[in-house]
Amino acid sequence: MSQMIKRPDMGHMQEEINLWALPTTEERLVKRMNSSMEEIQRFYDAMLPHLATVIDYLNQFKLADLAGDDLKLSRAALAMCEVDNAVNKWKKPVLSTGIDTLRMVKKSGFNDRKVL
Amino acid sequence: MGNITAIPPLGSHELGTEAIPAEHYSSQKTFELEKEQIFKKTWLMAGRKSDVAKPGDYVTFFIDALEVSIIIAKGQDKKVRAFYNACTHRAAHVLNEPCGHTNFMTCGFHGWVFDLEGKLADVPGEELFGDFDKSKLGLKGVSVDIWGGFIFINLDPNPEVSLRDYLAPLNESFDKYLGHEDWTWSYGWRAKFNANWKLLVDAQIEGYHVDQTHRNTIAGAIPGENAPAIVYPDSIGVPARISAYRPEKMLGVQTDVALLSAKHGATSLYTKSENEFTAKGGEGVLNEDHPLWIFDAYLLFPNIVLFVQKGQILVQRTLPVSPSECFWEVDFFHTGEVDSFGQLFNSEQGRIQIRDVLTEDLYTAEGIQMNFNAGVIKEVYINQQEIPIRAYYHRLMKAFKGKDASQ
Repeated sequence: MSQMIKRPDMGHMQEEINLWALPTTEERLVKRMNSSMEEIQRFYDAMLPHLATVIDYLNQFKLADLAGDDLKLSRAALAMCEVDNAVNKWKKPVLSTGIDTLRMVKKSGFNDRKVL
Repeated sequence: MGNITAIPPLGSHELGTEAIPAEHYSSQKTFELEKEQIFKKTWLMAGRKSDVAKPGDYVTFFIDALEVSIIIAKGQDKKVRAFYNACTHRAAHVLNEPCGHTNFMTCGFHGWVFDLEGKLADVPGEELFGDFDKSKLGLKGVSVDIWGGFIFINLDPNPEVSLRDYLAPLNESFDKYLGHEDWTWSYGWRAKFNANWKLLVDAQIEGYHVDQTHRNTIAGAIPGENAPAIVYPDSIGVPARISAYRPEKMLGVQTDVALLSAKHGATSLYTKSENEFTAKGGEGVLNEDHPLWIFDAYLLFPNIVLFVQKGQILVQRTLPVSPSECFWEVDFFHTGEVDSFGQLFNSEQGRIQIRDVLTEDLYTAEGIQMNFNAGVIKEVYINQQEIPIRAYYHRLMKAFKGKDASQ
């Protein structure tokens, strides 16, 4: 049996976690689009040093079993995927050489055309 | 160079060098030809077999340009059939949901009931009609076949070629691999564009655009010179394909987030995963001999670009509405359940990277359309790396000429 990884102490950035731990990709996208670069950078800088440990810690459990603060932490970790390009490639919250991402509406299945 | 295999040549001029007229993308005349000679006569991807897994399962498919709605349903005999979604009483759509399950298809207008074989099974107040032969009033059938787990329909009651012949050179290995029951739909997006439908296909079938269009996302991960094209001059339904290979040394920005994601899966096209994942049965389909190969993208005439890679299938579909309007969709298929956070993180990261890259691919089409519609640009120039666009154009021209030319 490999040893359990202890939950990292994220108390120092609880406020950031609360802001970014939104339930869906779409909500995290809108949060990124409506945030300033300073807000995005603050979240990214606070989370990045812990991200590897956070992923490894959360990876020990079944997804369906994540709840409470762990579920919240998982959503904040996923928000790192959303802000990654803004921080490391665009240096601004929204890509200026693409269509408005919100025009790509999420489908619920292959034949779903009700969304649009 | 070591054991790295050379990347194939970028493309060729084997189909000529002439310019392509802008009216191909903008004129009503071309659009009318497309409706008659293509959308009424070729095989169109309309659904996924797994969505009609059980008797009574159905999906509906809409061909906007023709205002045609199709029902695809599995009968009690487990046979998949397709019908025009048109009640033979007073022409209402019989089913209105994108998918569902029903043992009988009942029209919501007056309650005419059709069985899953399309036969008219019950008419409320049948005695109110005069001379009446129910056996002649079944739903009108549409040709249907299944390949690679995808359902294709053809409005031609007697298609000129079978679906299998249509899709050659994609052979039985592709049918088996893509149709493997482990593939499940995982996510997709739909968008509407003020652009000709073919522009959104064109954007996906050449590698020349990669360095410039994607300068703010994946620059370096797939250099343009690593995206060669080939054409299939003898194929009816698969005019061309492009491939993508990684550079020997990754250039551009590989972010910490991407590298962490790569520890847990291979969803992203743009980051090499630590543990390469391959779905079963890819022999003859996946280019596993080449250490740098990422994906092949096949143009399935007229409106599909099918991306085949290890561990992921990606389908882009474009459906015209008018010469200057279309719907565009992308759908992803994966194997296995995402049940750990590492997998979820990988899936999320890969999906967002592809999403952001697609926003760049889709960015130019509406501006191009304006320049065509305004008559500012009369023709476009195609280089040898963009040869799939020429192959696509030639295929359309053949279809416009009619029956004999498509053979």
